[in-house]
Amino acid sequence: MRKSVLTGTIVVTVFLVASVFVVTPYLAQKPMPEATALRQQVEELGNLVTAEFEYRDVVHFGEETRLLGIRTGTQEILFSVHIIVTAGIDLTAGVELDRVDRRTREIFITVPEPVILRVSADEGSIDQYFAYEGFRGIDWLDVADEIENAKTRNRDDAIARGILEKSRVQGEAILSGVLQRSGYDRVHVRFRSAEGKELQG
Amino acid sequence: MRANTPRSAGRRRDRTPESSRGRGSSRRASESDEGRRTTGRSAPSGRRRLPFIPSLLRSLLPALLLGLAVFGSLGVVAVFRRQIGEFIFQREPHAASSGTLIAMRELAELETLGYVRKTVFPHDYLDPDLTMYSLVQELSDEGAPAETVLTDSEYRHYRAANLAGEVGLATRREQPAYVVVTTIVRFGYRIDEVLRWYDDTLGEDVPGEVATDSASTDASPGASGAREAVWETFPPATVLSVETEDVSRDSYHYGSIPLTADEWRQVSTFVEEFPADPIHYEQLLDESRVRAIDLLRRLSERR
Repeated sequence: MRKSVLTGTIVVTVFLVASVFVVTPYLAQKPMPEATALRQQVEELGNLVTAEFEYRDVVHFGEETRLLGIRTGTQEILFSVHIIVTAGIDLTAGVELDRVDRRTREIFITVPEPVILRVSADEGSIDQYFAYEGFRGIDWLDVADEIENAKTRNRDDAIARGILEKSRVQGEAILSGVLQRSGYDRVHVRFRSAEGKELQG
Repeated sequence: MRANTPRSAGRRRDRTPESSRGRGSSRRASESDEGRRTTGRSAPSGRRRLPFIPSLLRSLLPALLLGLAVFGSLGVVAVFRRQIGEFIFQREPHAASSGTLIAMRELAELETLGYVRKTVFPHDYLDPDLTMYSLVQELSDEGAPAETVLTDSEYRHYRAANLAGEVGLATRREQPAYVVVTTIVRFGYRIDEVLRWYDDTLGEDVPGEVATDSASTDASPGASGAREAVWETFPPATVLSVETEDVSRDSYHYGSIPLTADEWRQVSTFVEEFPADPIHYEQLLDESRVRAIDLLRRLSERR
């Protein structure tokens, strides 16, 4: 009797200890965030947004699940989404008024050269053709990986098609317009590269 | 094995009289043991001296082995659970995408402020004091559209719980199925508005703005005051865009998002349309205006 109690106690203890090691990581996997703990922040911007290219991407994502090598299910989704590539001038990176001639009402201004300000998928434009969720269901984060690939590809394409040049021309026109209304007849806009080298506008 | 048999039998024979002899015969038994020890058979005498340890070991051994096996197995599972899981349950994802350029636009916007807000959907919208049952009851009693019958918070609860139910998320605060949506609101100006303000307010003559040499920068207090008064009329900022931040495994730290593309569109559009708590737009618009004035001044004045 005493022997069986002892044996049982040992087995139960061992099982409980092992269970703690096995189960704890799963319990800690998805903590519920408190709304108040989430970030709300104000970002200071100083962007002159000057050009935007819009792409329509068709995204396909599929996944096969297998249990011990035997196919048990398929998840598949096909949809289109618009991806927006925006370029412009970050004025907070430094604007220099190089020379101002009051007599001739002429100004020389140097601003940072245009950059890609952001590449984002427009969630509101999503048009889903079909979705087979299967047993496991679709995790949007899996699909998001492919959207990130599409964003990188579209960003490169926009640069190749001259979004930065377009942004530069438009930026020059905007700055000239603003400064001419500030009383300068002749405005010379120059662009400074990220390395600090000045480029002719 | 056969050679040992008489010894074992002898031992068994010895025990029986010994146990019946009592205390008086114990000394003779010890002597007998001593005699055996001289013959080199020490094991039986050891068992006699410490009878508890072998029997305890014998009874514990299966339990210890079982425990070791269980603990070892669970340990292996705990350490290699991912590999075991991948061996048992395999996933083979494949994805592709292709895009076409559909529009090229020239923009003229001055972004001066961005507001980032994270929303737990649907929990940020669900009032713990409300239930869908009570809201539906109220609507059926009134027989009118929800937006006219319910208060703002009731309406948001009603809409959010309905949408959450449709896409398979929580419909009550106690349930854990949620997603976190990050919304970015950008404030600023469309440049054509700024140019219109220049034209309307300053016109051709802009006293104090062009005069950017050192003498004119130190203008008289009167001129400076007039310039300040002009900036007072600068138009208020506007909301340039409201958009949902794209998620990725690196940026999203709240588990999975068990939604299809269409469901994610519905949820993010809902969050963009209905901020979970009122954003203090006035304060942000004021701050945005101040920053725009600061930026435009930097452009037109020599510091």
